[in-house]
Amino acid sequence: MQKLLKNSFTLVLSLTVASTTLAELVSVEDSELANFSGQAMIGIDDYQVVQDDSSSVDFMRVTLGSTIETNTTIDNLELGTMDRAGYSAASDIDIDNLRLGHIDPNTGEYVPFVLKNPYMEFAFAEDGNGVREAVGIRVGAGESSGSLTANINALTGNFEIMLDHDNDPGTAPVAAQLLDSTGAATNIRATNIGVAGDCSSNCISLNNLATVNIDDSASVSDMFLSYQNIDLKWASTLNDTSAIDTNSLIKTTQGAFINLPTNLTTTTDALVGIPGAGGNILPTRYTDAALGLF
Amino acid sequence: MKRPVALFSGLFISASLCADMAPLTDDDMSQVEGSGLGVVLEDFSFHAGAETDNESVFRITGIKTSDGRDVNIEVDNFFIGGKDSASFVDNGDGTTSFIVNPTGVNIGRLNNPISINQRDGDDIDVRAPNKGVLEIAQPELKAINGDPVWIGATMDPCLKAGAAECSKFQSREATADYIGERIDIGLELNAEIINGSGDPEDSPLTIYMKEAVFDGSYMRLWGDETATGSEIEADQRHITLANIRLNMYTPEIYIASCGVDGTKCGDAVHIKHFALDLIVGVGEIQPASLSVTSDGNFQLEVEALPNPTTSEGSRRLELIRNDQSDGMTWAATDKEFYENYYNDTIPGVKTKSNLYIGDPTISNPTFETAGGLKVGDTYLGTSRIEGLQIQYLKMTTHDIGG
Repeated sequence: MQKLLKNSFTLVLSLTVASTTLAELVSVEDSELANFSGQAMIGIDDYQVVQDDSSSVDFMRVTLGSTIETNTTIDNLELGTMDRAGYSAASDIDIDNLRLGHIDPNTGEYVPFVLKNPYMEFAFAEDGNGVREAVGIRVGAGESSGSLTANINALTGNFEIMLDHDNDPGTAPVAAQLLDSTGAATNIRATNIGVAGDCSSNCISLNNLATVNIDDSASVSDMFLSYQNIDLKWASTLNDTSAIDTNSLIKTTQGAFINLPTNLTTTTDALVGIPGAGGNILPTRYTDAALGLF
Repeated sequence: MKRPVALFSGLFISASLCADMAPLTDDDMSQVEGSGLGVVLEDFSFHAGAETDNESVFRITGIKTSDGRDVNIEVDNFFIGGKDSASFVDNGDGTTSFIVNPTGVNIGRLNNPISINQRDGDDIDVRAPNKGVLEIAQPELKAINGDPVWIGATMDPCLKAGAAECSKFQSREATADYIGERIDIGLELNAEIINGSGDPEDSPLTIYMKEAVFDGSYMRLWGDETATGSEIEADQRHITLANIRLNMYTPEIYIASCGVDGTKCGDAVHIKHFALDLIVGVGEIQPASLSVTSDGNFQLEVEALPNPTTSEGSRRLELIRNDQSDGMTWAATDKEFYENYYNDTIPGVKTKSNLYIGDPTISNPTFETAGGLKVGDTYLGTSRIEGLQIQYLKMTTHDIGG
């Protein structure tokens, strides 16, 4: 350890005095260079998308070539906290106890949430004089997989889940919709999920959801969080940016927005969270009752 | 905490400055003890990439788009300086120009420098008993509202307490008589992307952060090997472990897109009051490590908590809990250990991170109102991430073309 520290200090000393030393640069031999290969860890894409009003918006995406495995919890996530006429919720996105990944109830091992190729992206519109104006910013991942547990108080965005009717197995699954407290479909500050207009039987409070395994059949694309000052269409990361498929664009609304795609098909009953041992809210802490350890 | 002697300041600044040597006052001297190294950069400024006339431009090449086209990045401005090192100047036609003229800044000061210390693992909260810990630290964090926690539960002490409280950071504001210790940092780059016709297309981006404070940030490094008498760790990993705490507060951040010459900037993303309190690695309970994989990629890992259902996890848990070498009794039982970790109540150790993004707007960067918020432009709403706890993390880079 002492040796390590000495070496560390030597390194620091070398770095710090370098600015005052006139050192001779020595060329690197080809044989030495041959031992190195560059890793393209960062990629940059630039593309345009024609919006609903026929204007063209320029996007610049910076992608970090990496895979992130994590078990992370967040006590409170509040995004876009501002007055919005007609909505009682204070924030566009308001989530308590957000938990990415879980602990396997059988082995006690962490089962991480996985994000592949995370990116940050900027959107610029051009005014009539060719001046570029920022209109949006988003962060996301090319592919995502794993479990997500949360008490959602308000959600602005998309939450893609297919619902099987509980009492009618022969009926084809339908896409769940985000709903307000009356059961009306809305993508802004939603408090429920289910089938619009049918909140008596097919409507679940977002505050009381079971753990959602977002990659029920395969990893999903285009999980992202964005801010924009116009209703803005972002491109899917699956797209070749030189030939954007206009059918795969993801429309977001002004303010904060979260896109939560999943491959999950379930019933409304199964989507209701049941805490404790044997429940469908997976443990994320060793002290959780679902594990029964303490 | 012992205060290190400022040995390096002369080395750093002598190459470029001819500053008068001033005697230390008795008050200054009384704050100094002979231990470790201190770094102070006085009247410091850095500006690179602006001398386009003689081709002294910082370029990054070799980056590709996802469909294989070349991307050349040209850094037109990269600067570090003091207050008002850059500004958006109104052109009178609804656009602005980004003007860079770095001023001087004091990074650290003699009785509160950036420090490089060897510390005793028994004495600090990494809980690395019988080990020396190399610590590189920013100036100490001074209490805000009597609360030494950076942003803590209230998240926005500056907004709630007013600007007067923000001025109480250890790193002092610039005044008419003092150049200050808060840092302006900016970057102006242009990503030149070759389009399908083989022609270059410009994607300029400007990022400017004003008067940033990093008080209380540190990086602590120690070797993970079993030392004589050590109670913790017997798996002989022989790697360098780390705890990193990044505290950052800045009153303003701009993200804009200007013409490649810095003129004709349109609306910008503008954030007022940005505060980050990031914890990566929690003592030796859950240290972070940075390594390189066999195929040459980087890997950052924050170790998982011990799994109490396995014998190995139980053994680790027992060793951690029974480490009383620092005199703290903080977990009488396994349950108490986990509860203290999850509730962020381990004495002297912080396990949760916070992020506060105040009043983000997309607007003309020069347009201000007395209340601070911009009127007539789009307000995106304040955002916060409170109580973020990394229970496990492994980030591995890969070739994005592969």
